[in-house]
Amino acid sequence: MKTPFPYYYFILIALMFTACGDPPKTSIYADPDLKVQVVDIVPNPEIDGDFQNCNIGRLPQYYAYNDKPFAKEKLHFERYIRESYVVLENSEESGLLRIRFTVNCHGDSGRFRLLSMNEDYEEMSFSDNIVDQLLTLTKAYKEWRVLSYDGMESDYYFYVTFKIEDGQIKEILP
Amino acid sequence: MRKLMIIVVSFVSSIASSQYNCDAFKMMGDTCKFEACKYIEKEKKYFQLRKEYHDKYNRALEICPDYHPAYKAKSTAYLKTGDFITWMKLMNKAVELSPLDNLDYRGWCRFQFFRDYKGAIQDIERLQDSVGVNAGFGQNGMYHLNVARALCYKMLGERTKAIQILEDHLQNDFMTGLYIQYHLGILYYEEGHFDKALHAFELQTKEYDFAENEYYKSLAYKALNQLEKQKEAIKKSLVTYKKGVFMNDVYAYQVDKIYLIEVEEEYARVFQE
Repeated sequence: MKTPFPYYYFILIALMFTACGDPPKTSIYADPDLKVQVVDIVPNPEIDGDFQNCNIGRLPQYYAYNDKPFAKEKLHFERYIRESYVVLENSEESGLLRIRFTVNCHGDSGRFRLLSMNEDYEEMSFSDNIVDQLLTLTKAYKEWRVLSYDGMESDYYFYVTFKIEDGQIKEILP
Repeated sequence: MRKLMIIVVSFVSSIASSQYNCDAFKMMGDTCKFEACKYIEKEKKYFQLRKEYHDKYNRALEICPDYHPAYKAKSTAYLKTGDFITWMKLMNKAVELSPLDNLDYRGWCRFQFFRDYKGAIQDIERLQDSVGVNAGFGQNGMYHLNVARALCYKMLGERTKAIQILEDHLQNDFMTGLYIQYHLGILYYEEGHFDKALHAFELQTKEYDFAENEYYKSLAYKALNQLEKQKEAIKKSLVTYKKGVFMNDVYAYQVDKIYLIEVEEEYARVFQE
């Protein structure tokens, strides 16, 4: 017997084309040329896989929204990281490791990019063990809030920075 | 009145960060900076992260390579996206060209965005050496730089020094910012001076009350074995949190921030006992 095509499928399909299709409208951050920001993450399918943002060309920063990106508060993320992160014995690595990414209108994260510095604000690299752990954990975290303008779900940029001293996480920023 | 002054400082601070009085450069006979400043003034305004915004300030630097406001203006895009390396390169240039105009901003941002406590102390104290302890406010308008300095010492483990700075600050006729009694109360609490802590939290309530302050009150009452007041305070903290009255900053989470999760956990502990 043929399965009936429920009426709400039409609504879902309609939402797929509308919910993320229009840009937020009420702010300077809704500028249609926002795609030319100086700090944009250039999509790279080789490392980003099939991750897609919803609004082509419009990616505001997290601070453009009234709500914070942490759906369950920053403390939830901190506890998750600290419970899972394995500290290397005798590590002397110190500095900041920033992981920047985008969150799309479904709350999925992607396009992760790294930047790290020593205590003198000079670029450096942490060992693979530290980087792999923190990147894997951050990628696996699913509690990002769907942020919106005027009820319209939007994409956004966000970042987390790990302040590391002797291989241990001292603080998580911002 | 103090709250009004905070709002004014916040407003002035945001204006100051984006705009300079070009005539001031002219009056000082600095035609190079005057021309760069006038160029910025007459050009279209763009959002800080737009390429055109940076092109505009690059052009200003071509007109006048010593125009330090351009370095500061360009740095902001990198600050707000966590690119500490580019931000610092630009701010180092701004400070090199005009320390007294830029140390406040660099010091504050090192504290607020990167929790670089030693670096923030260096910048703030270098500024204070020139202009005195009353060196102004951090960019968000909620913290006097001297209070930020005290918090940096606290985070480096120097609580006694932090307390001294805050007590001295309160002895002077300086503006305090929004949270000084709260932070001072926590320092007293951490040092085991619970009565002094409660006194500070009460003073904070009179200035501006928020959920975190009530949370710490409940901890202080607990330490003093005043269980009814402990319950009352944690209940008030929870209600206040749910009303949306808690420490908040657009860009970053503050030192001594308490989360709703912690308030709920403490509430559950208190009412289970």
